[in-house]
Amino acid sequence: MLSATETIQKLMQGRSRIAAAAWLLVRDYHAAEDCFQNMLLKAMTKDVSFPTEAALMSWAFVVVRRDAMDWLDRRGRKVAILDEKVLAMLDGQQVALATDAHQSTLAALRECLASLNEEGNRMLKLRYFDGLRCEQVAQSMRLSLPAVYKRLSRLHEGLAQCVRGKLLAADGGM
Amino acid sequence: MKLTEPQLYLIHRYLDGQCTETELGAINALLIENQEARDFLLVVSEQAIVAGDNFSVSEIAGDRRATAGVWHSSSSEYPSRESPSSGFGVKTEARSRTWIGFSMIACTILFATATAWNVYASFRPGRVPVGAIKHVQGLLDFRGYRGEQASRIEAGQQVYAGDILESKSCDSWLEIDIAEDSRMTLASYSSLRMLQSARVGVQEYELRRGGLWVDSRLGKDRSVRIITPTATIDASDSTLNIRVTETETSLWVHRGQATVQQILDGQTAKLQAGLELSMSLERSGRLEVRPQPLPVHTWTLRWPLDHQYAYGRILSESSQRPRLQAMPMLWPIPNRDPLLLYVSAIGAWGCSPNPIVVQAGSVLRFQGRNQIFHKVRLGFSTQTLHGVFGGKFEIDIEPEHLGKPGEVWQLDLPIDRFHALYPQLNAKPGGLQLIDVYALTIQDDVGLEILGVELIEPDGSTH
Repeated sequence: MLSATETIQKLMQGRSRIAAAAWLLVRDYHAAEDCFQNMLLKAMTKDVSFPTEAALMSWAFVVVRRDAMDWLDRRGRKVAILDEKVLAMLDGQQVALATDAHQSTLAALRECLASLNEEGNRMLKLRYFDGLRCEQVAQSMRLSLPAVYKRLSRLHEGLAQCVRGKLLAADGGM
Repeated sequence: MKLTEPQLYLIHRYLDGQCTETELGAINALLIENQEARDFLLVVSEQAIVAGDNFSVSEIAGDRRATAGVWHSSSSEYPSRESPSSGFGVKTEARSRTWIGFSMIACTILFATATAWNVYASFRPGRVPVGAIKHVQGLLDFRGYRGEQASRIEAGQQVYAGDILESKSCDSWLEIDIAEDSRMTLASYSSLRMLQSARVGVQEYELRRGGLWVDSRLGKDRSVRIITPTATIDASDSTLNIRVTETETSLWVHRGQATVQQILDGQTAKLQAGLELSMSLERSGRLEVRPQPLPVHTWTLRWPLDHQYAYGRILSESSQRPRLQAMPMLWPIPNRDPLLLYVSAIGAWGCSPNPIVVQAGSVLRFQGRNQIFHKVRLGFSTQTLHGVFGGKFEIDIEPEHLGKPGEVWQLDLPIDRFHALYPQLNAKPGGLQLIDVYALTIQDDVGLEILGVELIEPDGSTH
């Protein structure tokens, strides 16, 4: 069985992935963070224990998704939500990742984000931190909507490539 | 297989909350079939969270303004929760991206020794205060967003998004400054959670149960939003009183206006001062807006008594008069063992469609019975009209004034004879709204029963 400390350690190490699971539903950084907090509170205050990290992460993803759905219901939001089957596939993929190994990916991602240019930073901030829709980002940055879609796609792909490069370099592959 | 431009657009439209039913079907199909699409979606979602963390840290380190515009006063107005030497500002300014990078390495060591909550706190991006406690009264409970819990809440204490404040007894309440000239008062038996609003200029709070008095004087482009289990209420320059249960929301607007949206079906209503609204899932969620009823100064307890508005055992055998028999209740006392009481109480506020207002010179008539020769305490609780706790008033009646055990007694008690338990709030009950009336004994069960209660106007008339 994972001890209480190990449980919290694993959940905190998996924070970005677990909060991301909530974000896929609520699409709001602050709300996703609150969903993660609620899940963490449950892990600490309820009498739950897990034999393995995989079991813990499965539980965490289920709980955080449920909390995200509650958040949407309470706000009366009628937004399109992915099919249960798709969400289960995404969760399965995430749960399979070991949290320890993922830490180097996260560190690399932070470094890559730090090296973004001003425009990239501004776009990510408007879109994800300020919670603007792409259309509002387009207005704010005087771009067309397709241009925002294109630049966001490039930004994400560029960050993913940057992370892969850093991980390869760390492994001595480059 | 690399994702095509239309496929990428489709994913962004979903994340934007903009896709149609047809597009949703297409994106579901794409994600089921295409591993790259799933990878891309997961990459975007995690990058959004990590980027959000970075902006959260840098925004607070920069100017300490509310990231979502929820707190526009200068920070010097409300001192930090921590001491200046190890304060919030110092700590967050020290956070840089380099710090974040090293934190992951350091966490392994931290986890081995720190408690779970301390560990959590070390990871959590800094937050900005969303209010400051102004006044506190009675038994209260604080659960901080970092998991800390305390039964002591002090004036001046700051509250942050995620914090939960609860009042635990009928005489507990607290007042929070939410902006300059704007405050909220949490009524008794109520629970309020501070929320982090994602909307610029909007301050959000979740009223989980009980009552909340909102007096906001927010400027243009700013508003306060109260989320209840069944509705959202928006106001900016208004005075409101809100009461909620799991299934019902009631709202009284005393100044300005408020907009209400029912969560069940999105029905909305705009209320001006002088109107009240109730919405109940048990009444098919119908929004009922009407003028606020005028106060009355008399009241008579009518049988049968609704269980919702009574504490005690309702006895109504046909052979005897209906009555409310006292039941045990543990009364919490700070830092001491709770007190065992035997209580019969009636929620007068729920038994009358109009607010009942006590006048100076009014008389409370109690009819009751007890099976043992014993002292009885009679009392009532009040609130300011449509407002918050106004105080409790009690009087002890010695057994010789209650007649023989088993016989019905009747007492006409001028309200000015009742002793104020909270004279700092109101020394006299005149002008206050009657909430509960009760009879009790301490420690001993004497078979106490209430058979009737009346509020009689100073001129002697009853309802």
